[in-house]
Amino acid sequence: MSKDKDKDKGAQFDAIVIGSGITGGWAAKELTEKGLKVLVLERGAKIEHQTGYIHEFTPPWQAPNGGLPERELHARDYEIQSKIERGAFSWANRHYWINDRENPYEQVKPFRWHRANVLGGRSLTWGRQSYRWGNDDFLANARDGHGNDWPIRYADLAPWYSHVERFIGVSGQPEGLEHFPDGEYLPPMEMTALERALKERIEARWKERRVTIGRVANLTVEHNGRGACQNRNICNRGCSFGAYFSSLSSTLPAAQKTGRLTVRTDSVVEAIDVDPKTKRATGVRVIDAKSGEKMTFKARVIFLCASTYGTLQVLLQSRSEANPNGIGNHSDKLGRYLVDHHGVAAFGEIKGFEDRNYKGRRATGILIPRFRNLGRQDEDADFTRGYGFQGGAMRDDWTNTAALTDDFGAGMKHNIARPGKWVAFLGAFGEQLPQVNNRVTLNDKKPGNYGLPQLCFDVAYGENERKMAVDAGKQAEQMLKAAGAERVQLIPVRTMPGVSIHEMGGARMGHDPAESVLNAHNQVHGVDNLFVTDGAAMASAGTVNPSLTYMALTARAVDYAVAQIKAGRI
Amino acid sequence: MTINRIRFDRQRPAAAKEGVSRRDVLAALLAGATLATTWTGAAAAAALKAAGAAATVRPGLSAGEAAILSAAAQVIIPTTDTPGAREAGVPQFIGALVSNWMTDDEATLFRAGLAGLDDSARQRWQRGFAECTAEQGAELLQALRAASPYGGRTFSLADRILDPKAPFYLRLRDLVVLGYFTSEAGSNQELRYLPVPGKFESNVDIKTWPYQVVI
Repeated sequence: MSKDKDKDKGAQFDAIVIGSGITGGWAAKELTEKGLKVLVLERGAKIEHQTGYIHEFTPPWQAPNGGLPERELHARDYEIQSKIERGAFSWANRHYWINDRENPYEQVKPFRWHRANVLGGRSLTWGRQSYRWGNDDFLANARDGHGNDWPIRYADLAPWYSHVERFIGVSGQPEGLEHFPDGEYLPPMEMTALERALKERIEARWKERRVTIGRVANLTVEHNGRGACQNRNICNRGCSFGAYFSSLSSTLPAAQKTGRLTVRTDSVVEAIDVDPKTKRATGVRVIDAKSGEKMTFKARVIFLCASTYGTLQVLLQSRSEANPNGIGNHSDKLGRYLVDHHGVAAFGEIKGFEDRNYKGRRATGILIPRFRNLGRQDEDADFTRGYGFQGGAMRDDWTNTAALTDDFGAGMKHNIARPGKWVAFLGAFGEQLPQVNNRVTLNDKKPGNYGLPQLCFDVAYGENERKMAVDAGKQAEQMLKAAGAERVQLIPVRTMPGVSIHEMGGARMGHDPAESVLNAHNQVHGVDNLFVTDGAAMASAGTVNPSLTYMALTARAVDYAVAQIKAGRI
Repeated sequence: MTINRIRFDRQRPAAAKEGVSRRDVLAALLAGATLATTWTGAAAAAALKAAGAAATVRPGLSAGEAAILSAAAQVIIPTTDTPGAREAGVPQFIGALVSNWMTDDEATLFRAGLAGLDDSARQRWQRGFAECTAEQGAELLQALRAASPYGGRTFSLADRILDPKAPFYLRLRDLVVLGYFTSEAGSNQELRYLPVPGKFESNVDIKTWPYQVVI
């Protein structure tokens, strides 16, 4: 069988969506609901809602090796993925993640690229924290000159945030803060006894600081035919209740319902073809991951939603005579200005709540929105921009209690089983400044999977990030102490680019085609029927989780694209 | 779609014969699967291999080593108003780790540690560790604990178990604790296994709910 037979699948589809994660799912839903026939291409394996969550209900005593990592397997096949922070990679969901041995990438400086490799992508494993960005976030680049001006403002996205929130369901508490906009929320999750005390004590000491419950895409009540959160907090194993938002439980079924969706898994996108005369994207070249067969799919409009680095890889690989350095790379901006969230965490023990407990496992924490350098430069701040905190206050569980002692016997058994001491923690998410030299490129000398060149990461945090993390650590310590914490400890987190998995930039939006890759509608400058709506579009990092913004950008871009199609312009 | 669940043979023999529990049925039904299968250690090893996991399976502990381990585990987590390590199947759990999870070096050190315990029992009490009373075993473990300084991280139990520098005493104790608190008995009778808690009750009196909820 010839593996290189170029199969032209013809223009069977109105639109092609590359990627099925958070943004790909949204593009598929919006495009099909607006009447387009859509093909979704996913490089990973097919997986189905409910039946694909193979360890969702596996109890602890059936976990292989008591849940201890399969070290040989991880070292061989999951060297990067198994090091993910906060336990998002485990025996229970290993099958969602990409095989690192088979999919190498180059690290000029240490970089963690965490990738899913199944239908639904990282919508299955994300933390679901869902925040609107505020107007300050869209103005920051213009104000301080780091990065280019965003071509949109909060007002452009506000109705689309609402559109997305109403569908996915976000639980949260409105706070009425200008720089931290409220959305359309289901009832908030509840704070623990110590979190309530933290809120009282921190807000009493600092008037401009607010402690709120994490806004999370978990349903606190039934919503759009999906079940309410059961407070199991094993979301990243999969959720058969559909209580957390994922492509598999929400957007893809909605698209399926229109009868206009086709999904093709095991489809690795090699490149997007652009006609040099018409300057239109004409087709998507695909390698079948199982057979190696090559084929081309054609459509009138293409949405590239392959995750930030996946998207950049496709754009860079799409080299032709007209675009020798990849699509949208006429001015060497493609792959540059990558941003992410860096950070530090603090935790401490707080006494006085020994008679309080909780029951169930809540799937969110607390959040303190940005309070540094808001709309001005704080006098005592030696860094630009700011950070927010996410945290919580819970009782230590048996794994922590057991690790804090080497005792044995009946007393130890009893102590470990009881709820442990109350521990409060705060973790900063700091804004990384856009820098021209933080970039990815292709290394043609290093072939990766499917014979495609490896993506090469040359990304580092800078001096501003270092100073900001020092300040964040200091503030976290002060707040925990003000709340009564003893023995506050700082621990390094998010110290290496990539670990936050808040990957952004590389095909940033902007007014000027010479300074940016995408315009205000996520349309590639110069290729009018190609849209990029995942994290690659971001021109800065903000201080809160970006996924909700990607979803809003996607829905907005689809609305624009369909209007352009109807007007005969693309 | 049939979902096969890897299940180590770590239940006490009586429990293993009780067949599929109500929880298994619930879990299987909720997952849209057929009934969970009870697997033996050999079947589990084969499944792990098929799933791409480490294929190393070395011979299990000898009967003598298993007896020492069992006695030590029972001293570390004795029977109280809840089952002890032995009834929770902890010795079998650790035996399975020695067979198909530990590296060769770790297995060798672990076996040497068990032999060392036995030697110290013969010196101190003129009988093997497995024949010692709980009090005699506790004295020996206390001495071993005192002679086993550890300067590593103590933030996470799993990290300590993974630390190659952890002395035998800690390795033994931590594996017993892990095995017990992830066992069916430990999960249900010491901790509270709630697969589907439903509501999150954010602020309850410890007197009405003095438990940790696990899944």
